[in-house]
Amino acid sequence: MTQRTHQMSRRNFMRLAAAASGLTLAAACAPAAAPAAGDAGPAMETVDLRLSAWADVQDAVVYENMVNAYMETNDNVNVTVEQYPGGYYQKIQANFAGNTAADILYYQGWQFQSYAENGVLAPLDDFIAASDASAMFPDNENYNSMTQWDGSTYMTPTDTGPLVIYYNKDIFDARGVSYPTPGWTWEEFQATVETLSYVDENGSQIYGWAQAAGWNGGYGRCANFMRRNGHVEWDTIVEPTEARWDHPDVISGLQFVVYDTISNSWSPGPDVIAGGGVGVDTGRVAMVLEGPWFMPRLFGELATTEEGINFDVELAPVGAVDQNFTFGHVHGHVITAPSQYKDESWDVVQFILSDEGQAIIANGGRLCGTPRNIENLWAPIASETYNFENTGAFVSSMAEGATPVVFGEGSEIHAYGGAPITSLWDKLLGLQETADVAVKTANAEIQALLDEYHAERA
Amino acid sequence: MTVEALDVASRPRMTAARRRDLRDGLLFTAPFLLGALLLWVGPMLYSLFLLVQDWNLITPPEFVGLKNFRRLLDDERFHKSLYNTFYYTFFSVPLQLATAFSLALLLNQKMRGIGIYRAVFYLPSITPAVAFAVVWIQILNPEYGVLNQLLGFFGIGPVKWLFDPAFTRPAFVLMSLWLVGAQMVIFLAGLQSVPRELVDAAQIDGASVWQRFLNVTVPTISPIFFFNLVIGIIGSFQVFTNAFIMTKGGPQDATLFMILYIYNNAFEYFRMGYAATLAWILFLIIMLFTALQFRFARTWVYYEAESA
Repeated sequence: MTQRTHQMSRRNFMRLAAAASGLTLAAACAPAAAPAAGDAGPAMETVDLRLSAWADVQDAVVYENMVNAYMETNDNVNVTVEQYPGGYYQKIQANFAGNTAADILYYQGWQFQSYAENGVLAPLDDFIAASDASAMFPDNENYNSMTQWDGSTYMTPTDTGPLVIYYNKDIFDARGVSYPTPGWTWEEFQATVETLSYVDENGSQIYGWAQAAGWNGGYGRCANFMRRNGHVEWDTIVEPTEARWDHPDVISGLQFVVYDTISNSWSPGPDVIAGGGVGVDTGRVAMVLEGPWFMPRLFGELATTEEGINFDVELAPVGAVDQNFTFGHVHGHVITAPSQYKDESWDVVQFILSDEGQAIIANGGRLCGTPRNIENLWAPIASETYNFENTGAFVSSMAEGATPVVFGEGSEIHAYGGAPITSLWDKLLGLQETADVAVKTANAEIQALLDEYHAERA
Repeated sequence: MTVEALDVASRPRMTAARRRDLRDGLLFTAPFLLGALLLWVGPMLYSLFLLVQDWNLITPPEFVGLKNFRRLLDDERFHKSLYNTFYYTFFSVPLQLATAFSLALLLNQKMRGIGIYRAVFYLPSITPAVAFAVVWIQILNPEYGVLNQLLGFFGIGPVKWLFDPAFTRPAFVLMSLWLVGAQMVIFLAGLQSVPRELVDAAQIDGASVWQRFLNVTVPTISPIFFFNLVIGIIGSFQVFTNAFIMTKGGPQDATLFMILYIYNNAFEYFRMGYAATLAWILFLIIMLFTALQFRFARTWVYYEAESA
């Protein structure tokens, strides 16, 4: 009697494998399962919320701490933090297209407008009124421009990022130059940049100035110099219709801050920056315009140099008018219109804006959302952690600072560039054209884009 | 009985074995077929639909007729991206072929350690794109870069490779030579398949080394040249990664290639309809060039089977 074997034949094995592959692929292509809304006990339904955070490692820690603290007192809500590294807004857009957008999204204050226009974000006004939360929303032009659109509030002021001047005190001391003081002038700034540019005893070029740390800078890093005498490069900051870049203040600001500083070796050019290792954080640059995110590179565990940099900060210099043109970036959260849990989302957002939430932001190295919280919560922590004094520069920059340009749907120009502005910077950074020549071309191109933008919207 | 019925009756019936084979074949190819339909043919057909739509991914597409095509005519950046892409293709592809073929000739020698040399010359082509970009940013650095150091010995430079629009396109052509490993291996395989008896016969007939190379080796591997040319042109029209990582299309749009411009329109400006239009234009250009190459291949590509 022959023994019957149970071994699978090669042919059957192959069939099974092929079928399994096909089914796996089909399963992979199937739409994601809807979020489970209620596998909790009989007493209470659990709500699953998704919240996006900016894609830095620092933000992952901040928001894990944030949602854990929230869920400790709200056990009927489960909040999941999502990050979209490499193309944050592209992935948000794709999620909207696939109808899988998170309930709460993190935005920069000049990015949410086109989404609001398309009706995919929920206005917050009713929530704010019902919760009496208006105190969490500072009422000044800068905050209003970056949290509201078309008369409604869409974004919360969760954290902020004003651009202030960081300076290396040791370089100032070495050259016998006094530190910048509040209200220092444009002329003093120019003289300081020149004086602090020299070759040190080791033969290294020390630069008086850099537009940004680790990259070449751009429009957003120059606006305060362009606006120093009160002239703004647009007829209005929100939805401008006229380009006013060809004003002498804009031209002279760009000429000095970008072109002259590079051509005179007062600032590292793009080639030097691309080589790496030249910045305030390495002791090779005396001053740079940067946001609060730059501090960890100067002092503490994450600093570029072991001993850290002996630094402080000051507002950008002023011109003929007594006004602060520091860019006061506002970042925050929006609630998406398709979310089924808007009330619960608003509760989470309120927690983030509360003192407890803002303390988590301050402890995580991010700047709080309002001048009051910056002063009360963030300043003591930051001053001690990063060993500097002038925390007031951050408070006043957010209380009085200026706004980046804001557009609605379909604009090629944004707060940090767009084709003609980027091209203008390329010409100046590469020393191919002086500011008066380059701005003339750029202004016409910017105006053409504005005309096209408004024509399309009309 | 109708004609159709007769026709069906006369058609040979599929045997059980053939049905099993068909079923197995479909099962085996199902992963590919499903993948191709869902991830390739599907999006391609949808992009055809988008040609006449305005779509920002957030709201439903809106019919705009020929607006996307009219935009093409007035869009200076599209014209610039087209110029950049053609420039890159026409300079990089011949240089790539010449470099890959020269390397293949060198690596076709019988010498100790030839396998190691082949591996070394092939290695750059499997370098991850980001590592490639980082290395080349350093090589091309005007102040510290190796290339400018070398040129400095001849009194040239310093050249601002990635910062001066006049030099950025040549820099990208130069970088493309770093990735000729795959073409080199294909040439090498072709060189090793040249029939020894043909070379020997030519030698007996008194042909010099150069004559043997020109009249035996080159015609025999002309299909390999043709293959590398077609693939090279298709690939160079699709240049994207280096520009995306290293220059973002700058300076002054000097490296704004077609694919990068399509990407910008789709995912920066959220103009999916216009991006689809640009993509189809690029597809047609590539198809045209490929067809032209096949048309003229008859005049210079030698196929042994056809001549027999």
